[in-house]
Amino acid sequence: MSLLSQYRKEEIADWYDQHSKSILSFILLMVKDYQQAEDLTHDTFVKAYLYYDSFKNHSSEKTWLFSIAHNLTVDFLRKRKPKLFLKEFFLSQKDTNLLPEDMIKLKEDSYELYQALGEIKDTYRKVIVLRKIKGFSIEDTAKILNWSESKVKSTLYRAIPVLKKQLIKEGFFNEEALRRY
Amino acid sequence: MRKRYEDTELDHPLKELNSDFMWKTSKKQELKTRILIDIEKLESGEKNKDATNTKKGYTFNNRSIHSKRLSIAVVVCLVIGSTLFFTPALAVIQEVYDKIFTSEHIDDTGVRTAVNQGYGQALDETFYDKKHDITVHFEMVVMDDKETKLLLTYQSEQTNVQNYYLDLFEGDTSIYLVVEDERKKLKNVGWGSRYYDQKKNKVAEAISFESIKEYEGQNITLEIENLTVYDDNGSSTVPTIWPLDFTLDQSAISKRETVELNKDFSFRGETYKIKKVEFSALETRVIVTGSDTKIQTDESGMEYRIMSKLEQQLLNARKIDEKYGYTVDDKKSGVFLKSAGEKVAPIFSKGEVEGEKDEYIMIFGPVKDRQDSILEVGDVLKIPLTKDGKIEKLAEDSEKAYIDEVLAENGITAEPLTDNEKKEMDVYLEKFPKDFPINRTVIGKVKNHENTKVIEVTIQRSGVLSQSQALNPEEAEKARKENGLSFIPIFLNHD
Repeated sequence: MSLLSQYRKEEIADWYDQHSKSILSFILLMVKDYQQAEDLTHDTFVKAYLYYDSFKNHSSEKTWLFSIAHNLTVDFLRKRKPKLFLKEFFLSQKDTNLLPEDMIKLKEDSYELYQALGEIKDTYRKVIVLRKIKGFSIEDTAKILNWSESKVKSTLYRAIPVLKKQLIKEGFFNEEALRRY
Repeated sequence: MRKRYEDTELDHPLKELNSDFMWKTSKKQELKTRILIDIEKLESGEKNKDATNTKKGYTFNNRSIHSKRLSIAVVVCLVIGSTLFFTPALAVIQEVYDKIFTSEHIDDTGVRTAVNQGYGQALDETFYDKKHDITVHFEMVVMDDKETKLLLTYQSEQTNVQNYYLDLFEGDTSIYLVVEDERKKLKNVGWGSRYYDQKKNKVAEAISFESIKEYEGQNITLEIENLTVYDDNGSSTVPTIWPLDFTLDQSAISKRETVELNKDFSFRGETYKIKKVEFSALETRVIVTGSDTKIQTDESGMEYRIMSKLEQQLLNARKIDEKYGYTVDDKKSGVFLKSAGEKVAPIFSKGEVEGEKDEYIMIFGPVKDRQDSILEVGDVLKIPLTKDGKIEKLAEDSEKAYIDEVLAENGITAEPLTDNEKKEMDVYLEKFPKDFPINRTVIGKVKNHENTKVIEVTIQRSGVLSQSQALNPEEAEKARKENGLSFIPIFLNHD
């Protein structure tokens, strides 16, 4: 391996140490399948290595990695849709939300929220995950999703009440409990 | 100051969710190893269809691995980013000398200009909120047919008003119109502006809500209900009502003048039509449709817009400042109006105003002379906003000109490849990984590349140029030879 390649590899390894957990949990929230999330995280970093020269340094490497992760996830979900339709016909959606505890755990307090997020539509879920869970700015969220900033704002504005409604519907919270946060 | 419009009671549990994920360290390390081995194999050419170490089992063929080995070499890679755009000196936004709206913190230039130009009805009404010890002074009201701006200050000797907001958009604040026995909630329009003066413990604010121009000549009451408090603990409400009684005078109301234009122009390979321009005391709207302003539909059937090239150009000059809100970056090109010789900046805080289907609306400050208003798109186009005015093309706007401009800004001159060099490039590209192909084409080579550290040059369509460089020219030449290239290729990246 040449020194240049070595340099890239070390940088990717460094980025992995810093951002892999965040990227994995983002993908996991989107695909609701740990093994797929792990594979897509793998692809994200391999792709980052291959596309290294395309990295635009006017966004942070984290934003760039999330754009790659998002594109891979969208491709994956698009391809998976027909299969999922049949699977969902036989299984309830909740079953696909289960986490393999020997690999990844979620504290009990957050599990209900994770479940509720899994029930709302992809567009709402991803904007909530990026803005509220990952803490990206509107500008960076727009870059990652390739949306206009106004779409980020308006979608988030619609998504939050839908998530609240889902939490109430599932019986996880009531209005009063929500207000306590 | 930008308001925290998106704060909700779910913020805390959502943030917790992020930190509540516990990924087994051994799994994390295992995946890291898998990634690094795959990268290593990509480089070394060991990996083939059967030699997948990954559980996932996707493969890279021999040809692509070999190419990767050839394609990169040497010591260190520097990615140097640079934007295409010129940096014209922009006129400084005119200062407004109104007694309260002199601050740069008021980011709606439309209000400032309107006040400066003498629009609006002076109110000069004071209300004392005894319970909270807040003195409210209503300064002025100004409106057109789309929005009303109410300008006021509030201050206190005892209550710290630093975190008090009149947030009509996402906060708990509302504004009502009371006429005779009827009390009607008014809709929020766009963003307001706010400035807190710490020395005086005083807030100057312009709140923005729907137009009430149809009440001209009537005695009306506006009631501001509740203050929204944003602090480190989230948001809370201060219940109160601040009333304002006055007769709505004609001087508060500015008429909107609409000019149908239907003027076509092209920019960066996209075609646009300026449908119409709307002039008012508070703003100038330029309504555009274009080949990249059309509504898109995503995989879930939801409609959305992408950022058009024109919008990208407009936002290029936007600077976001935590303290001052949206301002203009003087070092960058954008889209501006020029009226009576003066530059008029976009009102960036109105960026989310959406038009009809397929429309993109650019909103600028009000202009001085509606007959002498020109839309300036970067340094390439001047479009008079009149029916007869002819579009002036200042510079070539073709893709080639655009690329040449990017290269020139980086001190690079391109020249075409010879037949032999094309063959070298074909061999090189043939060997590049096919599983993750980079969508790029070679558009030439760097002229006079002796004694340079550059290995290859890539230009993004967005105008960003990146270079792979070695530590010294000798290493760069060695790397190029390893890649089978006798020249420095210039790639155009299509992603």
